[in-house]
Amino acid sequence: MGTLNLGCLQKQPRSRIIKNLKRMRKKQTNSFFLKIFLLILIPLSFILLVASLSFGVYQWDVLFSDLLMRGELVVKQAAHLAENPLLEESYFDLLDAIDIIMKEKDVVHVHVMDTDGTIIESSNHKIRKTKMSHSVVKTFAWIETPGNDIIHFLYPVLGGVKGFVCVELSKKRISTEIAGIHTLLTIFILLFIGISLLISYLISRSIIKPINNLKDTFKQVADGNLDVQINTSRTDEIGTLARSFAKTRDEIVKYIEELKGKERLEKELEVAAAVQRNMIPRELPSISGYDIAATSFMAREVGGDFYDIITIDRENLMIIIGDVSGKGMPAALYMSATLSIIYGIIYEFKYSRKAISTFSLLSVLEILNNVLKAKMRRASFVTLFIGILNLKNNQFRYSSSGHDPVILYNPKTERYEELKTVGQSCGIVRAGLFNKTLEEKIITIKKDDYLLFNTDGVTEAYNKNKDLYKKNYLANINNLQGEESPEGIITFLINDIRDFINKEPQHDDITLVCIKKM
Amino acid sequence: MSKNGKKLLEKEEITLSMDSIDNNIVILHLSGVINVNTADDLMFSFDEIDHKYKPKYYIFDFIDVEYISSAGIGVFMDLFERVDDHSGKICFIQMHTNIKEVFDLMCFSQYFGFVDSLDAAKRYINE
Repeated sequence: MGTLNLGCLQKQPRSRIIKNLKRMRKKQTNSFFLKIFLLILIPLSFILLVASLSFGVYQWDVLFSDLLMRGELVVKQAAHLAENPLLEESYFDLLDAIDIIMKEKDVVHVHVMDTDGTIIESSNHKIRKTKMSHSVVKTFAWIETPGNDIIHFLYPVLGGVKGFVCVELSKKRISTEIAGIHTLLTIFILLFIGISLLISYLISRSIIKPINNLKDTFKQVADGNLDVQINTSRTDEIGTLARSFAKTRDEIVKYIEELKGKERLEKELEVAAAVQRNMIPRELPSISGYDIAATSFMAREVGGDFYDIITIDRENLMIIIGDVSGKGMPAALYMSATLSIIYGIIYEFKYSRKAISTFSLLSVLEILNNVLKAKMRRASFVTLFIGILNLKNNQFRYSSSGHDPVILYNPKTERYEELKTVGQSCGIVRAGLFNKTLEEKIITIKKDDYLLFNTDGVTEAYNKNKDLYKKNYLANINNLQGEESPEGIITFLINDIRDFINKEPQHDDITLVCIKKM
Repeated sequence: MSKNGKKLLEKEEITLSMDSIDNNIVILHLSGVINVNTADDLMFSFDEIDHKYKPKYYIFDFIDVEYISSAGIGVFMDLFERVDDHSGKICFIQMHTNIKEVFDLMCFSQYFGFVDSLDAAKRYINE
């Protein structure tokens, strides 16, 4: 495997680096091919070579054994043929017998010796009457002299009583045959090596080719082509690898699609959050004699809390704070629907030109309950505190449907009231049960009175010990000195809630509205 | 009341187990937090109980319920509507004051019984 020297990489021009990388990639591929090729070739060649050599050795053994066997037969035949001539001392007959033996294959010479080892008769007349170098034998024997192609076969005549015979056989013929076999074997070995090369090449290619195909596929996917087809019918490790990669690719595609979907959803949520921000007042109306501040923090991007300050006419201001059960997108949708219904009722009233005293808060809640009960999801509802503040006589007429009470507190006179009415949340019970519990009340707002509206996200904010913020909320209100501005109070409360819940996530939407009579 | 009844719902924040079902009365034990994250699961568990056992009366042991949000209240109001259609009743045992206050605030207390013991709950149901 090649390694990249980053120092060199920084100095090399880009084209050269790419060329080097290509060469390295090719080298790596060839090296891998060569390793597999040699891995197959070496043992295969070794097996063929050993087999060939074994065959050569075996052939030599077979031919040599055959020669020995024939030598034994021939020398015994010679001894048999020499028996009568030696008994009758007929040397002519002995020569005839020698001639007969000389006709046998591979026989070089035949000698007949007396009991002292002196050659009586021989096919080689020159050595007649000479002493044989071999000792006298009483049984069959053969002698091979190193560096000599002749093997001497000895056998006694008539048990050695009349001497013995010696037949010389040449190994030249079997040496020639063995040489021929060796030549043939060499050809076979070369052929086998050739075949081994071919087999090794074919096997290596059959391994490398699918790996190269897979490598090309990897590269295509790495280059961003996730549509590339990965088909394989192989059942081996390469097939498993290809299928695993195909599965990984599919997971990547799925993950990317999910990311796209999530991104799309996040964008839609951003739009929804922007839409919801437009549903609550961007700016609060500037009302003579009153200071008003409000804020709303959603637990998620969008939520179900809402508030509004709506000018009905020159003298009357409607103040709404509400909370849809649950949070997130469903709550946001119901919150929009609720505000739309309320606006519809207000505009209808405006166009009717009736006196404000005829505007029934209970009717607003009844209509809301009817619509929401029919259209809301099971177990969902809206709590609402709705009031009309008359700016001329400072009377505040209000009604609540299951919402947190509004706190009226005057630090200077220590006037403290919880503004609440009987009334169930909208959208959860039938009209018959809902309408009969509703009520409307009226109070007069005086100088330095604070009105604090909240949703349950404020009072029910809890920390990791599940302690509720409600007590702190009421204590903070009771600690007001009368000089605080509504905006300052809200800022303080929001920071205080954050400190209280500490690292706990915000579980519910938080909304606060504060009004001070100047 | 036992916490070791048949587990009907077991999640990180909430556990619902059924102590018994007899004579149209199902006795359930709840523990944890009932908020927007758990309300739907609880509602579906109630649907299953209703579908499987069709009880007329529900008794909830609330001693281990730490918190209930408006979404949780909605689940019990949804159950009330169904039970009320068959003239049934729902009773809570040993509900913490802060949770009872939420029911009061929303004027939903009138639809349920709030008692301190199982015997008292059975008496409420038989009234």
